[in-house]
Amino acid sequence: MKPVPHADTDSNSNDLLPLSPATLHVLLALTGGDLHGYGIMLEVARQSGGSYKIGPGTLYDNIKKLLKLGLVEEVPSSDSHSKDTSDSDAEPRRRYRLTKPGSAVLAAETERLTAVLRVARRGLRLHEERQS
Amino acid sequence: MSTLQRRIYRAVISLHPADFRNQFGRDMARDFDDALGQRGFTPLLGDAMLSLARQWKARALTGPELDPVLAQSAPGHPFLAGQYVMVDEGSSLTAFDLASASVLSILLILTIGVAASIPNRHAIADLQSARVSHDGGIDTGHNGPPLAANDSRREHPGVDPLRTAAGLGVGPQHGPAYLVRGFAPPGFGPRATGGPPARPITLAHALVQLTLISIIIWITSFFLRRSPGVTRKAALGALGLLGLAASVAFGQAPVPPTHAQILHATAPLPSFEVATIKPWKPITMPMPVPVQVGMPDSRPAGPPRKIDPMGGGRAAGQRADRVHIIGQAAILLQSAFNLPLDSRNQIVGAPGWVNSETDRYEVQAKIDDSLFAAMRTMTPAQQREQVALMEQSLLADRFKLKVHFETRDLPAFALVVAKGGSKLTPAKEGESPQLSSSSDETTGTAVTLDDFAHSPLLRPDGRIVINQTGLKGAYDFTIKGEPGPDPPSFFTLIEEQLGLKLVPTKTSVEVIVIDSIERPTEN
Repeated sequence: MKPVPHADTDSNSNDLLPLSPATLHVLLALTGGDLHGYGIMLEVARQSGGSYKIGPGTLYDNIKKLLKLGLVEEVPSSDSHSKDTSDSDAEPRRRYRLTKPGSAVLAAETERLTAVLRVARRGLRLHEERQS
Repeated sequence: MSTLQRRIYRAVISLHPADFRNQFGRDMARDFDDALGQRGFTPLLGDAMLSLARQWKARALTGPELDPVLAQSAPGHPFLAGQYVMVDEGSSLTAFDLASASVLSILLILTIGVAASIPNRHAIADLQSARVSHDGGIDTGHNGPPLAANDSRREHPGVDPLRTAAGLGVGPQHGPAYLVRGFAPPGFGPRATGGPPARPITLAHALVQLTLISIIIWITSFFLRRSPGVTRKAALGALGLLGLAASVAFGQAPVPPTHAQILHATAPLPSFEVATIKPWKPITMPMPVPVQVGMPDSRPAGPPRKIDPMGGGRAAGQRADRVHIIGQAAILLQSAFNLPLDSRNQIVGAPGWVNSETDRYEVQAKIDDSLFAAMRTMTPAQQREQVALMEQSLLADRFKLKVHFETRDLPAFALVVAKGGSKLTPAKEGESPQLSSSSDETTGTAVTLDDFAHSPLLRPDGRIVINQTGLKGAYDFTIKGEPGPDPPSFFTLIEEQLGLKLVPTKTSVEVIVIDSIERPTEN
């Protein structure tokens, strides 16, 4: 088994692009702070204005991969016990945190999308000019 | 929230690869519970099914650990968009394969869900939990003698029920509640071997399963006509057979008990031929000094009688077609609805007198001769169900009881194997199930962990205990109390001596909500 590459360099960050919508939104949700799974689901829905929602299955598929790639990390339970459970008897929920490599990948994806937007806007403008 | 929906979703989670399930299964289930109200069941189930397909696809093509290089993006295949790997189109699964396998998987899951949800009163009756016997022991056998119960902890509100349960408290012979069902046709001894019986297939059950099997076969053959490849034929055929086998297997398999379920009447309730109910007054008498050190003796006087432990759980001289209960109305409620003793948190909305130590009743009832004769041909589980239904009828008639049922999330304990592993000893061949508690120790013989989890010993405050040890079979064990100024709790004792642990959790459980109940009229 090959070692898991951690996206800790610009080169590695670019290798992981483009991100899927789900991955992009999960990383984006974690920019606001540490969140547990359901918190991420709610934040994704909020950030997209309710137009994009992910379920637990998609969420943890992505969380698993992001953990493996070192883009997010689990917050130690001692940091989150009192915050993560609605019931003092229940086990605390796992919370996740965006890592520096994760932040770098998100920044790279944002740059990529910005470039795509720039090209798209120019293309649309030229198209409209040709139409007129 | 629908229990069936939760069950189906958890079934899908349980079908994920073990590493994924172990890491995220619990959180997925919780998130499902939270999101169900807003998102609806179908989208969440679809999402879980997609996750199931992705995880197994990744595992099947790359092994248990996905090669991260393969997970990286390639032109046209965005990272983590469900495209974990690059697949050679010539020799791998096509979209058609995945679509057909997904359809079959969904049908399989639906089959399992429907099969698991079909009401089966026999199976429900088998879930009846262990009962404390009149001499302090517990009848753990499903086929054992009729129950006899003595809930000694109600007598001692000041005593830590865990310590009492561990044998460190007062003796059980002075408990307030006797529950003696006299019905004990000959030929039904303690459970021999093998656990609960398989569920018999009813006509409705068979029709549902046949319909589902037909759909699976039809879908399978439809796809096979479109895809003549031998490999594909074999794969789809195997999936179809798997669905068929699973459907039949789920119809035959015994339902694994998680916790006791409420007995619902599905037909007009049978009644006792005659029943008397009268307030029961304890006769004050000197009580022995409790063994527990440092605990106040706050016991009210117990019943003066001593019930003969012989006679299949019956009181001395009691006839087999009689039911005799002494205790609070809550005891009768628990018995009538198939709840384990001390399940008071599953009874909601009861007025105070239902559980009051000072409001106890003596119920004596006789089963009609013809009904009694018919019951002699039934299994012990069916017999218990019949008596419980008669008790429901009695409650409705004399206590003017009206109830409805709801599903609620209640605090519970999960019985798990502690670090270091189980210290239980497998039971010897031919032993009869027995769980008894004496003044200084609790002894289990041929006790399954389901029975142990259902026993009142593990329910200090009425919480449900769910057996999550994964340990099958019956075991012998002894839990020795450690009297002293600061005796360890029962939790500590079972962890140290049995290698088992009780972990607080929450579980969705059906509860009885009392709409109205009145003190019984005397006759």
